Amino acid sequence: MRRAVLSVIVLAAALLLQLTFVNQLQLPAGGAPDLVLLTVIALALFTSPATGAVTGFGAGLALDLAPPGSYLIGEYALVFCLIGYLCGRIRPLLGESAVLTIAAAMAAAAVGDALSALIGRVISDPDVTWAAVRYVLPSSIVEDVILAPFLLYAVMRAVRFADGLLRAPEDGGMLLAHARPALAGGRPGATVLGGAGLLGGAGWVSGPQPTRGLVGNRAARRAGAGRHPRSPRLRGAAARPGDGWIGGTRRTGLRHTPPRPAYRGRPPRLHLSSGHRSGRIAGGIAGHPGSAAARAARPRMRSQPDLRLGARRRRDGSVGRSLGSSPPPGRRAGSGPPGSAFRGPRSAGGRRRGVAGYRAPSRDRRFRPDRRLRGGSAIGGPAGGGAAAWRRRPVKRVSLRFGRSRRRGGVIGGSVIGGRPVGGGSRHGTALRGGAARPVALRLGAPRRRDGVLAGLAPRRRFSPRRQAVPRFRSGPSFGRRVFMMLGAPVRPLRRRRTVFGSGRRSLAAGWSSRSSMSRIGTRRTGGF
Amino acid sequence: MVLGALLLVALLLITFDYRDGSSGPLRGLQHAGGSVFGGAERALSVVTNPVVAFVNHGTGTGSSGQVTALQQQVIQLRAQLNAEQLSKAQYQQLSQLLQLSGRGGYRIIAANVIAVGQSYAQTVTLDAGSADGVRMQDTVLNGQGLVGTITAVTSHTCTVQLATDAASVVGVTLSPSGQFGWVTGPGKTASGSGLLKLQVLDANIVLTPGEPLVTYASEDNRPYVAGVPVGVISKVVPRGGSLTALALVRPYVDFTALTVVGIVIAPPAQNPRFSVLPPGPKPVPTVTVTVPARPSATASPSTGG
Repeated sequence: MRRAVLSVIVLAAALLLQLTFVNQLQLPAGGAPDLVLLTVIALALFTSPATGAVTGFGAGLALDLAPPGSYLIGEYALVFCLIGYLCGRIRPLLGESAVLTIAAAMAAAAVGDALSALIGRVISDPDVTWAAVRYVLPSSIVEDVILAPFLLYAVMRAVRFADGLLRAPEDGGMLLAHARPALAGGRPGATVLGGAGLLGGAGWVSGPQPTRGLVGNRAARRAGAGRHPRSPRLRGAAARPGDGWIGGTRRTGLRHTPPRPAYRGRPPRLHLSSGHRSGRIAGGIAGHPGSAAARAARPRMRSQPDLRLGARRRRDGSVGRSLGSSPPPGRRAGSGPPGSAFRGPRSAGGRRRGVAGYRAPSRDRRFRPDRRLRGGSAIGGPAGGGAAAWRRRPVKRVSLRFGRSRRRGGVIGGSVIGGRPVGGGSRHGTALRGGAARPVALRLGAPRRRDGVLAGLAPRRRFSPRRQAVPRFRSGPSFGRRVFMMLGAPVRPLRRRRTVFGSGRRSLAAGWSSRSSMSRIGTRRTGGF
Repeated sequence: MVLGALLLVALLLITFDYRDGSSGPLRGLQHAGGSVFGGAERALSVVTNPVVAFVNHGTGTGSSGQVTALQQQVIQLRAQLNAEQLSKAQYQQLSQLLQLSGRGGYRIIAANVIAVGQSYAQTVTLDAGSADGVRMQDTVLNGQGLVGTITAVTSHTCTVQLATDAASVVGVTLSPSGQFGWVTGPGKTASGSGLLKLQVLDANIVLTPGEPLVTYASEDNRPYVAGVPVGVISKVVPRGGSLTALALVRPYVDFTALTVVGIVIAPPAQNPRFSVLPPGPKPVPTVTVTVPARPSATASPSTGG
């Protein structure tokens, strides 16, 4: 709700400012920046595809109806709807990276301008002549691309501000309510997480949360004051490009996702269906980015929180795997598959499993990183049974987090899960272990996508204060991969959807993602190894 | 799928809007949206308009703005010069046209531009609506000449389709020759910063740069009342075998800097179409004589009446 209200307010402001101010400016070139488009992009980049589409549609329709109006009603609604959806779709690929998010916003702005021109041509808008397009389009694209990061930041700030306003009163009630009583306990961190979920799980929100971990003190203070530490922060994102804001959010979102009871009770499949809800509400956000992953995660969450975490972090295939491995047997194929696949030995099986389990897919992709994969995979194997353990043992979860703190620690995650020192994780794993004392660090890892483990760990909630893992830009290698993902991912998700229809969004998405990731991972790994 | 559903809705909206034209349920939707957003725009424009004015005239386009201003002056001077050169009969004719507003009983209300259309659109929103007597297809002009016509009206706002809109077609008369033609908007293009395109049916006519154009009367004075200055021919395009003579017209109005405009809301009881104009009331000629004495006669013809 908060997000919805905020979106309406922000979009209305952008719309009015656009029509009454920006369009009147005599800019050197023919084009004018499109604040509404940029706002839609900024909002959609932190929500699920469905929410993004709705946001875009609403904004576009408002632009069509607002006085000067468009040539035909529905023109901008169509364009912005598509852009909003695409942004929501891309989100998972961006992970926690601020750079990638900004790049995505810029790209989306350019695409949006081009698309609006194209639609204008298609519907024979008399004003959209080729001459006009040649004159207006280049300059408007340039202006939009330049403004995109600023608007992104502005929207983030707005979200944070809104969160701050609303949280104080609601936090206690809503957040806590969402959080599991048992897990969350009375910890402020838990509330925080829950709050993030409420927000929508938007990457922003989540982003801040992890940051908080770093700023544990702040979070604590806020919590003490009755505020939620969640507020989205660009800083956090910026600080850790690689850090999976997403992961944090997603988790939160998942957890927060409306009805936990439903989760537990529901079978995985149901989750798929339920995924819609969660997506919309708060979870939507979390789920959105990794839409596929997130969705999948939710179901898992309900059944097994740990698994989801792993799932959330794509790269953390290891984590997820480990988690997945354990759950798979009991659960559906989805849980088990991803992890197994990654590991060299089980690769074949993993793929299969991965296919079966649609949910895990997103995670798999991230596995790509050799480092992670290795560690993760190794861990994953043993961890398999870990999921169950997690549930049982909240304390252990903490330790797991440590491992998580290190991305590469995918291993760690595995270890954590397994409760053992996973061999795979060994590199980091050992280190991690040592770091176990550093629960905080673990959380940090969690924020990082790859640390699927962390995500998987529900514990974060408890630890949340500590989590505030330090953002890391490291993801250099991963960055390249991410870019690749960005380019390639959108297509895949679509495909996935198509095939999986029967199972439902999540399942579909998950399945797709898993497949693609699995296959890729397997190949790479094999080659690498 | 949410996306699919929304796309379908959007396409349906586009289709219905396209087919319904000026009627249909979407008009209600549009009207409601116009009322809501229009009111907000109107309120916000109180703040933004001064800022826009400052930005556009303060920093704005700098030297190019000065060039534009000088060009405008040249155009106006040229138009005046042409007016001086008209034959007496032609001059009387033109002056009558220019003063139609005053003689014909036009009532013009002033309105401010509060919003401008998005990207490619050549439309603006004014802060006057049906509550002020504005109706569809009323003519909009400003001190320099023709601005456009009203295409949508809500209670307190209205939308103007500028003469530069690619869908705009304005019937015009070449003041010296009395030839009829029509002017279409260029849309938003870089070429000549919005030169209108003039087409004249008479295949034998020789168009010359500098010829001024005024609107030709429309049936029932909608969408354009007669006699409003439109612009001057700036360039004649080689005919190239077409049946109509083609020329580019530089409008008097600077469409990128519209602020205050006038809306013709009360057409005269008597149809003042150019072709049936009476010789002119006797008292008027006196006024006519005073017009040339004032350099600004062209700019504010209504003051003479």
